[in-house]
Amino acid sequence: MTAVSQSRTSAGAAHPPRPGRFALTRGERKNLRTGLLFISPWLLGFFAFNLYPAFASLYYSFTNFKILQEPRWVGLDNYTALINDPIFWKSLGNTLYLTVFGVPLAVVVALGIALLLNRRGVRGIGIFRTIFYLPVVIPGVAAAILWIFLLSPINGLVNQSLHAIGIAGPGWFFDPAWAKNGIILMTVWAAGDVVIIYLGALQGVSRALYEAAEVDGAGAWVKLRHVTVPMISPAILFNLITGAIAAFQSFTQAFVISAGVGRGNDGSIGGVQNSLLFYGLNLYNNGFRYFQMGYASALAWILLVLILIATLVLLRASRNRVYYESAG
Amino acid sequence: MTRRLRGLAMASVLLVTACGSTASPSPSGGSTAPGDSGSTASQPASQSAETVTLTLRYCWGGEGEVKAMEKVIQAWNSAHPEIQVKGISGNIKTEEIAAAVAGGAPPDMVIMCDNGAIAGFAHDQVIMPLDDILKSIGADMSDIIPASLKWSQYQGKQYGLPFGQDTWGLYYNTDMFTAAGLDPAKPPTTPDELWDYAAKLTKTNPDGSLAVAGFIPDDPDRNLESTSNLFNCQFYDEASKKITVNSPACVAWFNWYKKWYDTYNKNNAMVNLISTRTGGDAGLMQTGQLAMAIYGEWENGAAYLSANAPDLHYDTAPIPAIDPDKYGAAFINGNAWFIPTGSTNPEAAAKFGMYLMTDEPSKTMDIQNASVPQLTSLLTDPTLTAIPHQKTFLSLVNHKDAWVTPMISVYGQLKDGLGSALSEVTTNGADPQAQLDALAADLQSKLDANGP
Amino acid sequence: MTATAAPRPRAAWSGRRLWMARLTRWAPMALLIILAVLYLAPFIWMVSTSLKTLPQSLASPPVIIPNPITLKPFTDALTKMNYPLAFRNTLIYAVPAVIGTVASCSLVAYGFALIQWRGRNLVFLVVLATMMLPTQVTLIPLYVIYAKLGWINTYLPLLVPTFLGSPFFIFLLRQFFLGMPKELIDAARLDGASELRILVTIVAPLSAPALITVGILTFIDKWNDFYGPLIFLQKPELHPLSLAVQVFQTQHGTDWPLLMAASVLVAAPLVALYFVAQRKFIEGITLTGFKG
Repeated sequence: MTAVSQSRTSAGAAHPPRPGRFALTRGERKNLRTGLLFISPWLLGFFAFNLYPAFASLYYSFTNFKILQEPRWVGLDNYTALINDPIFWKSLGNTLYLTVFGVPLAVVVALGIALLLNRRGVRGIGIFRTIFYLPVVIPGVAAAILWIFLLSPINGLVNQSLHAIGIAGPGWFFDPAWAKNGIILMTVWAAGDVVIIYLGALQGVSRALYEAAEVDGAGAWVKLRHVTVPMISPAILFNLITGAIAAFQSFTQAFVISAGVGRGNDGSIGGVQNSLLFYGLNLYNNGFRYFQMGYASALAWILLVLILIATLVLLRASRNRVYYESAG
Repeated sequence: MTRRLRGLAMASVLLVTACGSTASPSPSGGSTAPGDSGSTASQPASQSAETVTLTLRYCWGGEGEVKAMEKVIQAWNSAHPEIQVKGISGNIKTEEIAAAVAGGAPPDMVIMCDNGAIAGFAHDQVIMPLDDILKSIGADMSDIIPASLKWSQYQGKQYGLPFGQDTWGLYYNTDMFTAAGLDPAKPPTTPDELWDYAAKLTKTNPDGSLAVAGFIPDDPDRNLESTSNLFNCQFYDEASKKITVNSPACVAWFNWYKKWYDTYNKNNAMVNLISTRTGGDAGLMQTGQLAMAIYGEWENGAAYLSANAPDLHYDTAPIPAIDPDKYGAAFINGNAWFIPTGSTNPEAAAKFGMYLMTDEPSKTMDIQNASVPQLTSLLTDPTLTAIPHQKTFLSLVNHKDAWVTPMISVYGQLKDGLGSALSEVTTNGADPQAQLDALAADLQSKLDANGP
Repeated sequence: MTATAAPRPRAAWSGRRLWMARLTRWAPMALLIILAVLYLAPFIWMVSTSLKTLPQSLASPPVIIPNPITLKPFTDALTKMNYPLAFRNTLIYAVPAVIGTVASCSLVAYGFALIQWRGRNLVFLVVLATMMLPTQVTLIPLYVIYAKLGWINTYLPLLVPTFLGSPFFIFLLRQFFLGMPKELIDAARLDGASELRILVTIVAPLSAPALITVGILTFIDKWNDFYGPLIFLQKPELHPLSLAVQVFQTQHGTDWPLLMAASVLVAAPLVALYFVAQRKFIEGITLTGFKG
């Protein structure tokens, strides 16, 4: 395949002997300047709109925060309360289930669909591409309502279809053991944006690579494993990480569904036996229904640390598996 | 090269600002910001010569609801050129109000369709106590139903006033009554009677599933507060400041739910029936799968039962009660107006608020929503009693034992906690006493830490 | 891989080969059709509901093909939700957001992917971290900032951030830019091209699929954004389509046929746009000069 042995340094920054540990060479200084200049829009946004809210919420997490009053410092009280709260652990468990089972499934299914859709010159393929993209354009609330109907245990299309082939379908959102699988199904169904990202990535895979593999006598599977997947591995990593972040924060689907399936007519959310009480829902409850913003902020920062750890693990695990042509 | 890049970065920043301002149709948008004066609570009356413009954020978003509310606003605006009200419609989330108040640019007045947030808002001082303002404008509140005032009070102070109320009663399918040999003129009045009636009305399919349920105690769950006091279960004792959800009466109340599930939910029959519900609250009754149910009064409104199921014949009655003395009493909550902290003109807002407490505006919204008025004088109003089945509900709210939401800071946790405890009891075989003991202990500790 | 060419009995070999050839030709298509039906089902349900009368939409068990078919939900939805104004507002929000996101994110992603500078990986982790803090806890402080700037009830809180780089798309474009052919960029640098010139003339054309992806996803995201306009745009005349749909939800219930008809009307422009764009997006991009 292509030469992966790219130089790790950028052009113009060769390796002159360094004057000191913290001093930068001229080339390094110039690169630092240029790099910061390029990311300056983000830096501006970060300092203007991210930094203060982030630190404010970190500070609130150590206080008993009431909206219009001076926050009262309570030290680690919110964090200790959180560790002793069974709801916290329940919601964390629900969320981990969604992340561990849902995200890889969505990433793999979406890749399969993207591969099927990426073939050129197939009649009507444009219609198929549009069909798989439909779930993305339906507003989240409408989609959630549709799935309540589809997964209705007795009357729903899914269980009726299963019944037709002799399988007794599960209770989905009405069964605490199956409710989260219903959400996973929705996540997989709604992964059209993941498909679009794969389709974009697949455009970047050179025909020449496939031709070279074919000359070597490679079959479809070998081409997939040794050409396609490595070449689009940056996109796969992206989808895994952003999928995990989204799963950790998942909110809308469970919010609408638990309100729709019964419990929640009066605004309470969480599904049968709290089976759909995800971390984001518990956070929302504490912030805006229980008016415990300090506690909610503590929840948020625990979540940030958990996602950060998950991201670092994924980044590290992918280090030798993701192929970057320019070898950043 | 670097210089050129720097130029680009500058250009991109300029682009941001330029684009931002052209994209905004109204650059002077922040007109609701108080900015100009720090005076909030003590607006001098001498300013009344100038025109005051109030923004009113209200929770209704449906077409008919918005039309009715705008009609109310128009009537006020044409009669009061000095105080012009501008309505903003649509479902309200609590965070919207919380953020707007924190940002110092709240609407001048809010009508919320859920009084569940009032205690929390009041506790966090997001909304203002109204007593002094109401006194200063000489508000007359003698016509407001006493119980109705209670569900917008917090710590002895009035933080809002009710504007259209909800209350719950027993709905029953009269055709099914007749078919089962029951007299539609004699609905059940005690839980025992309800049980016997339900047994006669229940229809089971050959495979054991339910074709028609006689009664389902928690469909929909909104019922939770609507039956508690009929079993003499109180959630909170004001005098001792104690959470009392684990009292013997409350445990008996939970056991009542359990009895229905133990009997009728074999092989998940009842849950499966609930899962087929297609419409809103009253879905199962609309599709003829439920003979008796506890629903709110709004189901009698033009947009609900009669629109969804034109062929349904039903009647309404008070919810059965253990204590004959309490039969005819009901749970009340509803919509309330309040004034957010930072409102530009609380006094003007309160004046408009008191206008809402008069016959015409109240009636307009009560007819539109088929809600129950908060005014004693309207309970016998012929246009309201003429709404089919509404008469039952009009008398429920004035009962001496009518009860309301406990106005405490942990109300949200209380409601959610009761819901999940009940879910554990009915579908997971948990012990009511143990569940409610744990809930009481948890809520009490939060209440003690957080203040009432 | 050459080991597969081992000698075998000729007849069996060709039979299997024929079978395999058929399978590889038809299996993907069959799989595509099955998946497409599954993916289409919710949408069919949505359209079906939008053509029903209210009582019919609530029937149990539900019917899939409406009888009678009524177009009233669509005509009602069009008049009740003030479609032209809301449509215009949606465009005012979505179009600048696409321009801002594509422009700012390409710049920032280039800075993270193709310029080597000390600490860039650490800073990049900060970019990722900004995605990880739930918006629920930053909402109030953020609102306070926007209110101090006087931006409430304008599109500024929704639009300005799009010109300052969205972490999601910075990450996406970084992943794509890291796959750029290094030799080409190095050669351009040796020729004295500025980094901006390299971005505009080499990297952007080569990553056109990625930039279009960012554009499409941003457009959908802003088109359907409900929460942002709800919190920051208090004036009804500023409301986009996503908020206009609210008129079909009453205090205690929802008119399903109307809501679904409205949702179809909101989604339709996006679907039409994608159907047209996907050809260009997937097949029209020539990748000349992209070496393997």
